[in-house]
Amino acid sequence: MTNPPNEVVLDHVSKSFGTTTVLRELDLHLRAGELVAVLGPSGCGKTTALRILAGFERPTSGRVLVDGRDITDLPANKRDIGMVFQAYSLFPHLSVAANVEYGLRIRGTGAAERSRRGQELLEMCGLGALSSRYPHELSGGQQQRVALARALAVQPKVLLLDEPLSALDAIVRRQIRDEIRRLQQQLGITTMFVTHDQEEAMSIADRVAVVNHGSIEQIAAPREIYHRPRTQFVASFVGTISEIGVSPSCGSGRLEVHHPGPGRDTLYVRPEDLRLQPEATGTHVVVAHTFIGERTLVRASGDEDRPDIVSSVSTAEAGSVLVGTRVTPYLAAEPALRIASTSSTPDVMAV
Amino acid sequence: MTIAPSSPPDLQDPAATGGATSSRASVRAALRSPAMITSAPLLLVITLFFLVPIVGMAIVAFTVEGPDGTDGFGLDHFTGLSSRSRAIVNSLLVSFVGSTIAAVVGALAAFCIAQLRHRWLDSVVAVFSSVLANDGGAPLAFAFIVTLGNTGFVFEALGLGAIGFSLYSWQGLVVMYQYFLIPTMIMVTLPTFVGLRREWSEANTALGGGRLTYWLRVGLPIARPALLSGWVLLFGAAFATYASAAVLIGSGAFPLIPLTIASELRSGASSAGEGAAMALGLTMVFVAIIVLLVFNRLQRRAARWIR
Repeated sequence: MTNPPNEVVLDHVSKSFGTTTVLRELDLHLRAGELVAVLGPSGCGKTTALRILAGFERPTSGRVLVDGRDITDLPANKRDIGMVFQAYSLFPHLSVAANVEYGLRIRGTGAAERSRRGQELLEMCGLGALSSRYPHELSGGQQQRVALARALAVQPKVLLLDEPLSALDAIVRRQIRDEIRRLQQQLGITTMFVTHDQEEAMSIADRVAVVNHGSIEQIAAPREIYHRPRTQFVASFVGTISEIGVSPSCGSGRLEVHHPGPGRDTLYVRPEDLRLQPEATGTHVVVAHTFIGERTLVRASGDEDRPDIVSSVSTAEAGSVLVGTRVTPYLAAEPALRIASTSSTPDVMAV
Repeated sequence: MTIAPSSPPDLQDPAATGGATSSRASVRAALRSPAMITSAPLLLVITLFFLVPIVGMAIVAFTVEGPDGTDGFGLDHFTGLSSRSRAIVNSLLVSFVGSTIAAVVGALAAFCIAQLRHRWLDSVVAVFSSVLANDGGAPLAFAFIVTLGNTGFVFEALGLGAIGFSLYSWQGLVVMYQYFLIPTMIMVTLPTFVGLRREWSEANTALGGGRLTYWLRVGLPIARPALLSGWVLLFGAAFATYASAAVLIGSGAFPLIPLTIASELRSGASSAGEGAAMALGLTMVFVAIIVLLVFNRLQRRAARWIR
């Protein structure tokens, strides 16, 4: 069961509800067969963009194209778009099998074919033995698997996932996330995955689109989003980062850290690019350790004029910078983003 | 090896005596549990005002006078109900027609209110429905007499006499019952219609279904337990209505079970009349219990789907 891959384009899409503008001239291009995670804080417009693509909302202006065909005015039930919701979207009065076969049934597919494809999808999602159960007899993770199977059963051109893991606990979330990715790659279906969870977005997507205030700040591969953010918002929204002010002449090596301000360049430095050297005359004092397995995040606090900074050290070496140790920060690699002091808008120097 | 003589287990077997002691102890513990203590007032009320009267009714209903003048057990009062079959048929007719009309109208009203998705309106409707659903008795009958009675102003304004309508008939009873049955139906079904999730509708749409498909295959099937339970409840309410029916049509013209019970009890202290009244009363209790069991079962299913 494969789907011909389809390109999806949101072309200059704007959406207003009354006087509130939710999307501003949003441009988003999903290449055929790729999974794009749309990441952003609550209220940034990411779900509205997904609902416009699904046909549940009409854009105030702009176009929606699937494989070059303008579907802006096409009703939602004619778009051939599969959708998985946040939770509780299974029909409670139907069994698992009947839920999965629902789309095929209303398309008039014969009973035998319906049953065959339904079972095939359930097997793919690891739910073959649960076909006669009802939604209230399933766990949250199983329900989302059924919802995924139901969305895929009609062989949609595009798959939309609206925060499908947010109601699940951490372990199940990871399992289902991996399963979604496996199925998406196996079927080669163009997929838009909306989430506010950066770890989820970075781990599942071919590309991540970071949305803020109704427009895309950056769309790129997860690694690029992390190491080469294009804007201040992307830098601070994705991952842990230290925002520090330095003199414009400051290069790599020892850092004279200040709060960002006039006459200073602002550096956005990832923890792994910042090294803390224990020194009796150091500008910062280690205040906390956060154990994250092989690495440990070390937070150091400065005085009134110096912001807190975060460094990542191997857990084995964390003993050299115990809480209370006075340290001096060193820049071990290029910062993720540098905004020059003269620029009124972000001046991307590190890209 | 010495074999000990066998002895009665309840005397010698420590496990047996221990078991009996522990079961007595667990009963004592259960009686002293907070749950039992807090539910004691309710149990007392149920015993005094439900169980004792039912047992009393059953004793009278099953007591018959033998040929020698002594009392004994018998089903004569129940078999004698065939002579009052008109009351039973009338009660079933009025309850069925009245509850069916109210179920349809009430469900449609609840559906329309739910579509507006207005929390303030939902609250207002809930308050009004619960007030109107419990509004009945003699005041309701008088209100209908002055509006739809033979000289009522609505009766005259609409010229209802010309089409043969009479409030003092079974059709009149059905009309009057709508006053409290429709709000009851709205009250029972509105939470279900409000609880239909947007995700279900959108999932149906994404899978290629239209509005009609949604209602036929998703919306109505999910609402069905609540609709059926509402209808069953209305049937029970109409079946048991007494005061308003008594004021409107009295006891002679159109006998109903509650009116017949009252009439039998009023007709004197004859044991046959009292026995028949108690037999009818027990029949009504039986119907009420069935109605409540069906209602609860359907409501549980509706709640599980809608929560």
